[in-house]
Amino acid sequence: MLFKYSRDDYGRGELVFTGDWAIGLLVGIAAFAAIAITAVLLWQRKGAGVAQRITVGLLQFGVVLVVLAMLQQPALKTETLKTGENTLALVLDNSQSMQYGDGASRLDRGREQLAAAAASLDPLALTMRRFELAATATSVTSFEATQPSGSATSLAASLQAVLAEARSSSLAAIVLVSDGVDTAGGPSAEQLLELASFGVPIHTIAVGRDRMPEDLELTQVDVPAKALPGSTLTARVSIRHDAPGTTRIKVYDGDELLVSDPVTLQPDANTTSVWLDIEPTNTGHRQLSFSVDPLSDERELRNNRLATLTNIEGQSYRILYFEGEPRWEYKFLRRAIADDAELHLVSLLGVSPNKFYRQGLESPQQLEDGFPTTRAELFAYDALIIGSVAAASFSPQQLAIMRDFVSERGGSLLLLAGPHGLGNGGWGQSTLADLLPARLPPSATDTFVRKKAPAALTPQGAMLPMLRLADTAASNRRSWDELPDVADYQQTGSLKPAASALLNVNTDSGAQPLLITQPFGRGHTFIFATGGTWRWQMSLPVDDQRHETFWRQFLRGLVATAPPRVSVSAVAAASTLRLRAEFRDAAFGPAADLNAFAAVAHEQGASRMIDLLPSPGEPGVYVADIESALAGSWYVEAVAERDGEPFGIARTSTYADPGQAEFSSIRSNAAALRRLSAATGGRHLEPDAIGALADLVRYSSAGITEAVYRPVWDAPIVLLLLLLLKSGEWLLRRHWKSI
Amino acid sequence: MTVIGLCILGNQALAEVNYRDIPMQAEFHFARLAFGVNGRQFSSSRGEPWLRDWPEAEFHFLQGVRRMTRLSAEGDSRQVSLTNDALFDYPVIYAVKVGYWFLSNQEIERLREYLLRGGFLIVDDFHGPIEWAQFAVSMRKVFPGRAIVDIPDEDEIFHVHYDLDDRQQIPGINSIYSGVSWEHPLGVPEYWRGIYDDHGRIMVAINFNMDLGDAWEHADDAIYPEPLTALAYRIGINYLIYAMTH
Repeated sequence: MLFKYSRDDYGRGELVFTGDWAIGLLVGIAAFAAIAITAVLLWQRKGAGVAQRITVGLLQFGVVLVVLAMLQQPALKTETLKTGENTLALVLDNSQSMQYGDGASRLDRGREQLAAAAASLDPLALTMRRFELAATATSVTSFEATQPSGSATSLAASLQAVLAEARSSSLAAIVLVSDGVDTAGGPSAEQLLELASFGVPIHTIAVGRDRMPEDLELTQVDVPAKALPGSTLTARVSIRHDAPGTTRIKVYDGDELLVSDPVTLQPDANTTSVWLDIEPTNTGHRQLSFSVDPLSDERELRNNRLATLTNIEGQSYRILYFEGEPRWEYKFLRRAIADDAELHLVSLLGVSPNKFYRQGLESPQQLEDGFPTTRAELFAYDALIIGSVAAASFSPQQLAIMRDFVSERGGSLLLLAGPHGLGNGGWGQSTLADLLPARLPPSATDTFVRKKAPAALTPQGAMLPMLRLADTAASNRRSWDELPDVADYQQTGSLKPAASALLNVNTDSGAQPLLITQPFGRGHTFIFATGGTWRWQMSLPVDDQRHETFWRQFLRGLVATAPPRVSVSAVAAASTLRLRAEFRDAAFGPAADLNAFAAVAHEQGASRMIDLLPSPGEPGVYVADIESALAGSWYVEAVAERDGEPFGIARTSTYADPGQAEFSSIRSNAAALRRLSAATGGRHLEPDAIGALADLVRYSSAGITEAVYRPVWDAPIVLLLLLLLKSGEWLLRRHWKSI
Repeated sequence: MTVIGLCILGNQALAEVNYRDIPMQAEFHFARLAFGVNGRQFSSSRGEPWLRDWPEAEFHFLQGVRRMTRLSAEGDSRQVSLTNDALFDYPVIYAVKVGYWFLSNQEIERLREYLLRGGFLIVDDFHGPIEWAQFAVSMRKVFPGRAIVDIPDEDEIFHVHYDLDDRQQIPGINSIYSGVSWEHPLGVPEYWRGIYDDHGRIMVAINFNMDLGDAWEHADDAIYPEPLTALAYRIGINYLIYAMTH
């Protein structure tokens, strides 16, 4: 111990002088010593060189400075916890994931480590408070009876509860033992900041393994909450694994096997994601169960399955198609979706300069005055198709509501090619130009080409269900490759950064985008740079359904993203069922001042009515939480009324499995614990380094502390420095001989 | 200039060309159906029945189409046969003198396929029971299970662009010269008939005991009554707009 104390001591302390000597006196002594040394060297050592005299003088003066510094009594000042006046919180994760373990369970190991930690802190005479941690924290007197029973874990919520409960006492630190599995998905950056604001360091100790090559884990299943009957659902499934291999993924609707696909687990990644096409055969609320076959030596099978609920329900979507001139595409597009009960196409065709022809009308008055001029009229549709018609054909007001239709209503806008469409129609210079996914050429350039050309899938397009003409990726690509040429195409200009090209057209001058899309506000915009897919219908045998399939799926894709005027969602988080209903008026403005409530029913029959309350800061949004939600399927019907008149109704369903979350991720998450300790000024400790905890807690900045001064003048380094200075002078004099 | 134009059109029709290779210059090209007569293949001879009224009929009619609608229609006339794949690039075809046509089994198959895919056939300028029988026999082979029916007045085809409740027999020019409304002694009255698909859409529009082609062809002839020409234009335009919307 050259410096007498450890580096950590110097790091957390402050070097101060505790002597009573006046600074002026010390400076005077130093000055006198400097003069005396100089005089002696000048008078006694006339034979020596100047450099030699200066060197010897500096070494002698150094000795004087060291001695003077020691006279001022240097000391290390550190803040340490005041013995017997502080509290320490010991927190043990008792969620169900802590029951795992090789031999002893994670909980047993955690209990041992906290006991060891408490023992090492005995000298500080701390008041020990103990908490069990799961969805929230519970104060206990001992961990002896603690069982891994928590069905959910929220590290942030639990630690906030600990800090809140211990706020009245002088809490010096928190010691947390956990596997880091947080079923609430946190702690988030905001939660870490909030925890850090308490100023109490949280020291963490991880238990459990973060790599389990013998285990597969179905970590995520994304399925649309609703779908139309007869449509193909695309599910994204993620499998966590720590070793390469193969497995098989299965999807059931009740007892009916819908999908059984082999999956190769990626050798260079620990998560493999696959896309599954599911074709439910039944309608209504369907519980889809996903499972992966276990590995040969896999023990925990509960994380190999996940269930979700989706609603296969007929719903009518309304599409408005405005076409500026009679075209084959108009006719064949209408025919392609004529048998689709869910898609209702209302069209307005400019037959002559003074006459529009309306089709698909729901009332004789519909579109009587032409294209809609009010938000309410246009927003009644889910998607809008603009054909071969110039932007100048619309009034500024109509263009403005078309813009709002996409950005606020969340509708989809599709622009088709044509002699008066896209660039030719001046859309690139219109007020809607920034909505569009491409920088359209100016209208002075004729970009519409009446020449046959083949369409081709792009890699992005090949991934989209709405462009799927066959079951497998290979057969889908082949199916596209074998399609007849489209009758025409139009140049689109360069794509915008957020745009994706889903189809290309192969022209004499190379490939160019044919189908492009980009999100804008709440909605999406599309450019389909042809008016000639009708050739697919006319050139293929009558029983070939690719033309019909394309338009049905494409238009379904357009309307699927358009939010309804009234919607409700139910999300199961741990044991809470969170309801969120959104009500909008005909112009899609937020509907406030509603009386909103929900009828909630569980699959076993229990049902109740609950009030939906306005969500602060979110006009038109009404929320409610159902605590202690039972596992199983939940059906929700949100209803609103205004002044006693019905306003709207929406339905949804969800599947809750509060306990499953603890088993869905059994690998320990030490990284989360490291983030937690780093954000709060604590330390993440390995199980074999618990001995360091005593010093970490002793010098904690939180709690009640006192200053301790520890002398430094007698540190070995001081004596060594004096010896070096004097021995150096002696050696130099012997060497030079003349001084 | 008109004469020169007609000469050019004439040369085009008489040439043996692969119509698939002719690029489209507009959304709509008038396509006339070529068919054989009395068991022989069709030819491009000027006297062939399928070329009756060509090219003046479509030359005049298309000018009316361009003037009275927004339809992008080219002024030329193209000819297609049922055996040529180019048939499917023309979703509307026009056939005259179908009382003389002779369709092979292959042509019958192709016509059925064409109509079921969404094609539209307008037949015109055939008169009397004998010609009707020949046409009806052929169409029964095309659609054994579909009847040829009278199109009711309220059908959309008579209202899609013009309201055509007041229709009358449109005769050929010779009937005008003779002071009668029919071309065949038994060619009265006129019939507006059609064949529907399973969705209630007309696939074949049949002008029986009438000659719209002559009304178009002689639109510039002072002898031919202007009201009949105007009616023929309106009927033809309604057929086109219907075919492009249904």
